Amino acid sequence: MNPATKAVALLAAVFFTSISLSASTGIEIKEEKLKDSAVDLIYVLGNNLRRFIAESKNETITGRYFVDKQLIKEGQLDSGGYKELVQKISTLVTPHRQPANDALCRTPFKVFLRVGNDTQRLTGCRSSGYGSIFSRITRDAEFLLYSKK
Amino acid sequence: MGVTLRSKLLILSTLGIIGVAVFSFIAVKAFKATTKNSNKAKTIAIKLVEKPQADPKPTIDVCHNAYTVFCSKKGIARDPTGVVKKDLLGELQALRTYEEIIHETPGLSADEVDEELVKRIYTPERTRRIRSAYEWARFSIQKIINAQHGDILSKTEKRTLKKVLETTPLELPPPASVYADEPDLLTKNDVFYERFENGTRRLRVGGAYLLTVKSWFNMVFTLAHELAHTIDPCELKAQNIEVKAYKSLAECFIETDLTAKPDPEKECQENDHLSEAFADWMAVQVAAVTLKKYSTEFDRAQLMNAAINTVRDLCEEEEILEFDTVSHPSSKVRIQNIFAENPVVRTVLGCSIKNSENRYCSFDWKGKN
Repeated sequence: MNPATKAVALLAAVFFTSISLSASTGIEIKEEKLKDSAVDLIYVLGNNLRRFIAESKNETITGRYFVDKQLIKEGQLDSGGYKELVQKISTLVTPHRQPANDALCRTPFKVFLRVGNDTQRLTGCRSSGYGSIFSRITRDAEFLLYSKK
Repeated sequence: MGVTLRSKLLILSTLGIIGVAVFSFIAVKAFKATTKNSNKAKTIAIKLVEKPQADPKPTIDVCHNAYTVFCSKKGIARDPTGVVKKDLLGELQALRTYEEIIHETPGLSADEVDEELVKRIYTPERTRRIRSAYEWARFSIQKIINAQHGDILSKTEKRTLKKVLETTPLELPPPASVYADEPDLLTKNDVFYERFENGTRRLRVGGAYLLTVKSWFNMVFTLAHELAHTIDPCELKAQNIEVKAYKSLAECFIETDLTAKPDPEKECQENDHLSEAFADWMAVQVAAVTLKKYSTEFDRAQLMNAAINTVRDLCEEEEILEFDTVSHPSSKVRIQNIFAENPVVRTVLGCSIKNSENRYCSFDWKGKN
């Protein structure tokens, strides 16, 4: 490998590492602020509209999962798991991310994150951009809701 | 005399007052009676109109109103290959299994729970049937393409369409890592096609679908519908692939009221049903061949249940207002006009094809007769 190619490869490696680090770190949300916060994940798969809502209020964290507006599961969430979930969602909705072009999207999603009075949102499509990150977040949300006894 | 005259006048005026009072009383009574009668008449009229709705046993037959016959059937229809349960039941079963695994072995990570879930849902028998339905659907669509005359689909167009179908694999767990980038699918009822910005395509089947659907006929229709999306007019347009015959097909969809005429600027975008109507239309042809294949083995009732199960899940109307993506035609259009008007389906169901043959859309559609 000649020196020029090495330099390009090194620069590319540094660039991609910094991107993945910023994506995994996101914005640190202080524990105190989480006491008044909410998460809303709305998405379409096939013919169904699905929605996961989690809300932290008065020292209690409640989660609800709906399919086509029908409540499927409701329960309290573990605070540690909720904090992790909010952290992951914050990396998805950070302002520098551009919404995906979903003109032909059959599997759109919307994400809302409210911390105190500050609300951030993102609209996207599963088959482009952040679809995979979104899918893992919804799986984690389900795990959180079903794992609390 | 004067007194007498005054008395007479008094009597007359008293009688007049009494007369007016009596007349008013009678008039009010008469008015009330009329109103009451007209209300009564209205009630009777409503009853006459309502009566047939309350008692729908009479003459609904599958040849003229398949939508009502299919969607008003209570309970599940059992064909010899299995049943189709309600969407949500499969998802609830998958979520219950998910919950059981979490609580049976506390401390498992989300990925470990997914692996165990896959073992319990994507069993060899279930995945074998899905793969087999996928192969049959793909083979049948390719056969439909091959059967078109060279003037309708050129050799190059046929080759392109078949290549798209061949390069759309069915991805199924196990292992769970096959869906590592979409792990939430493991508990969902959806079967869907995706194309990515880098051009790769794939078909995936949510775990709950394997629990909801046992009927071979539904599997074939569902997989054929998703496979048809790989070559639907909007998918190809997005990839700058032009198939001339699609133009007259789209015109036929509009002429026969399967789709509305889209605003040229919004073609293939929100609320344009072209893509979904095409996928249904193609899948119906595959389903029709499948039903015909079994028409000599099944008795009439079994065949009817197989037809119902083919499109039973379409009865559940989608209403996803939050995203303004009402991309499917209505359930009634899908079942009545696209499925039950197909001449092969009609023949299988023992219905006349006198009117449907000329009206049903095909690649070589030349206009309404």
